[in-house]
Amino acid sequence: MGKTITIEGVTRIEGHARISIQVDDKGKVQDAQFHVTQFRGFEKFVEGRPYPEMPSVMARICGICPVSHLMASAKACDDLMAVEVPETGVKLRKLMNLAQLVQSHALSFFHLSSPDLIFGMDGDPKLRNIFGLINKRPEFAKDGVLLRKFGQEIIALLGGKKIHPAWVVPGGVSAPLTAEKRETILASIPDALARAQRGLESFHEVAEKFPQEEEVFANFPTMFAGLVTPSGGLEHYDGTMRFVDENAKTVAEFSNPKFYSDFIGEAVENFSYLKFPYFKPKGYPEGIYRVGPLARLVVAERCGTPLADQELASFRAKLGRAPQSSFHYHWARLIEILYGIETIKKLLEDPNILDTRVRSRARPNRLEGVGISEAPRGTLIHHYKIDDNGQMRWANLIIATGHNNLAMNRGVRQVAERFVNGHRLNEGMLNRVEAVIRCFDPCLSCSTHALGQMPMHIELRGPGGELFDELRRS
Amino acid sequence: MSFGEAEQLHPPTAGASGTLVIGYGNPLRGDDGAGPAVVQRLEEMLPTQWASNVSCVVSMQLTPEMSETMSHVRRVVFIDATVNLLPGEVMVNRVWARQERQSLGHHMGPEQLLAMSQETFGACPEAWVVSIGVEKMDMGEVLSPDVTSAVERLAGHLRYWIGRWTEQDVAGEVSVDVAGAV
Repeated sequence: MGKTITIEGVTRIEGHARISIQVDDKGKVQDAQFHVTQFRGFEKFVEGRPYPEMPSVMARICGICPVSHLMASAKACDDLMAVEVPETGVKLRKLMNLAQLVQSHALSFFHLSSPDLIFGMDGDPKLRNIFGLINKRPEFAKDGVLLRKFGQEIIALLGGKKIHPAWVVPGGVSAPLTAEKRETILASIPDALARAQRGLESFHEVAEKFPQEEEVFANFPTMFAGLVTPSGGLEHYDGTMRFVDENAKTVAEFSNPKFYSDFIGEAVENFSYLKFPYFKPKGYPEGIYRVGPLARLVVAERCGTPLADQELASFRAKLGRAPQSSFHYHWARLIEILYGIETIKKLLEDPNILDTRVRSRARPNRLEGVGISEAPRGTLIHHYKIDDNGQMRWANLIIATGHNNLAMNRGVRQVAERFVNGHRLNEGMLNRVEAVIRCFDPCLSCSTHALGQMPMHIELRGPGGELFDELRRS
Repeated sequence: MSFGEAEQLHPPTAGASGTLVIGYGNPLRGDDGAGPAVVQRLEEMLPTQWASNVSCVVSMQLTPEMSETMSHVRRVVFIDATVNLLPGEVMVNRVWARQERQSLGHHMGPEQLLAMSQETFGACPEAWVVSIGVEKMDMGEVLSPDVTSAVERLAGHLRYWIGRWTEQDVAGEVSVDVAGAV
C-alpha cells in the first residue's frame, strides 16, 4: 500500500493551493497533483449586470494585477460594441498593460523567486526569504521594489490613484495623456532600465548553479501559446494567437478572438477548482501547452526592441529556439521587463501619444464578444454574451494560470520523482516541489478569482493514516 | 483616548515629516471596503493647506513598493477591516517592524512593510494599525450602518490627529501615540 504526502498551503504564490504526492511502499513517487483549493466564481455573479461595468468589475478579480483583467474585459466590450479603438487609445492601453507587466514580473523574480536562486534550494529557510535577501543583497532587493514602483506609478499616473480606476473603458480610455505625465514617466525610464539590467546580471551570476533544477523543473516537450504581432514579434495587447510545437514550429494561428474555442478546450479534474485548458485538436491531456513569458519568447520571432533582442539572442544561443525547461521562465521574465521598459519609452516618444481622440462610443452592436490580451503570466481570454438590453447573460474567463495547469501538474510530478524520498521529508525537497510552481508565477486569485494564503504543512502518512513524517511552516 | 493622555513615543527619524494614510480592503466586498472608505472621507475633510504633509493611499492590499513611500514619511496609519471586533468598533494599535520570513508572498502585513522600509530603505516610520469591526463582507459596495458610522467617526479622529501631528512636525516635537479604542 502506498502513502500520500501533502504540501498544504504552497508559499510565495498568490492564493491557496496544496500539493499531494503519492508514493509506493518503496518510497517511489507514483503520482503528484497541484490542487487549487479556492473558488469564487466571477463568471456567475456578473450575470445580469450591464456590460459597460465589466472592465471595472473584472479588474477586482485580482488586487495584484487588476490591469490585465481590465484590458481583456475592455477588449471583449469593444467587440460587443463592434468599434475600433482610436490609435492613441490603443497605445495608451498598451502603455498601462506594459507597466503592469513590469511591476508584476519584478515582484515575481526579485521577491518571490530570487531567495531560492540567491541562497540555493537547500539554503537555510531562515535566510531564504525576502528579508534574508535584503540583508545579503540590499541593492538587488531595492531594485525589485523600485521596478515594481516604476510600473505602479505609471498605472497610477494614467488611471488615477484610486483602487481600480475606470480609465480603461469600452471603446478606449476615458482621458488622454498629458504632456506633464509623459515627461514624468520618461524621466524615470533610464533608472528603471538600469535596475532591470542589474537584475539580469545578478541572474546570470547564479543561474549556472541550478543544473538539476533546470533538468527537472517541468522540463518536457509541450506546445507553447501566446500573442504575436502581424510580423511575428512579441506582443502583449493584441494580435494573432499562435500555437507552436516543441520545436517552435507554428501549428495553429487565429487573429479573430472569437475562434479561441475552436482551439482551446477546458477540462476539469476532481482534485482542483482550477480548470485544465488544452489544445483541442490534440485532445486532453495530450494537448498540453504553456503560456507566459517563456512561451511568448518561443512563439515570437523577436522582441522588437534593442536591449531585449540582444538578451533574447543570448537566451536562444544558450538554450535553443524553444527551451523546454520551465526553469527558464525566470530569464524570460527578465527579458520581458527590459522589453516592457523599452516599449514604454517608444510609446511615449510617439508623436501621436498626446492625441485627445482616445475613445470610440457606441451602443452594443453584437450579442457576443471576446477579448484576448497577454497578462504577465500568460494569455487571458474574456468571453461575454449579453441580451438586447446590454445585460450580461454569460461569461467565460480563461486565465493564464489555467493554461499552465497541465504543465504545472506534470512539473510537480517530475520534480517529486527526482527529489522526493517517500520515507523521509526534508526542507530542500519540499522547496523544490514548490519552486517549480513558482517558475510559472501562478496567480490563483485570478485563476479561480479568490484571495488568500496560508502556512505550509506537509504530512507523510501511511496507508492506515499513521503519521510517518511531518514538516510545518508557521 | 484623548491626545492629552497619550504616551509619547521615541523621537522620529531625523528629517522625516508628514503622515501617510493607507486604507486597504476590497470595496466590492461590503464592509471589507471600510479602510478605503475612511481614506476617501478623510480626503474630503482635509484642508488643502495640509496637502504637502499628508498622503492618502487606497489599495486592495498592501504591496512591497509601499515600503519605499513609507521610508519618506515620519508616520503611517494603516486602516483595515477586522472580524475580531464588534461591528462599528474601532481599535488603534501601535505596530513596529517585524520580519516574518515565511508568510511573505503577494500578500504583506503592516509589520513586514515596516521591516522592508527599514531594511531596504534605511528608514522606518512610526506606525499604527486602525482596525474597524465589520458585519458583512458579502458581495456589494454598501457598508453596513454600524460601519458607515464608524467610517465617519474615524475620519474625524484622523483629521484631528493629523492636525496635531502636523503642528508637532513644525515644532519639532515627538509624536503622540493614538493607540486605544476610538
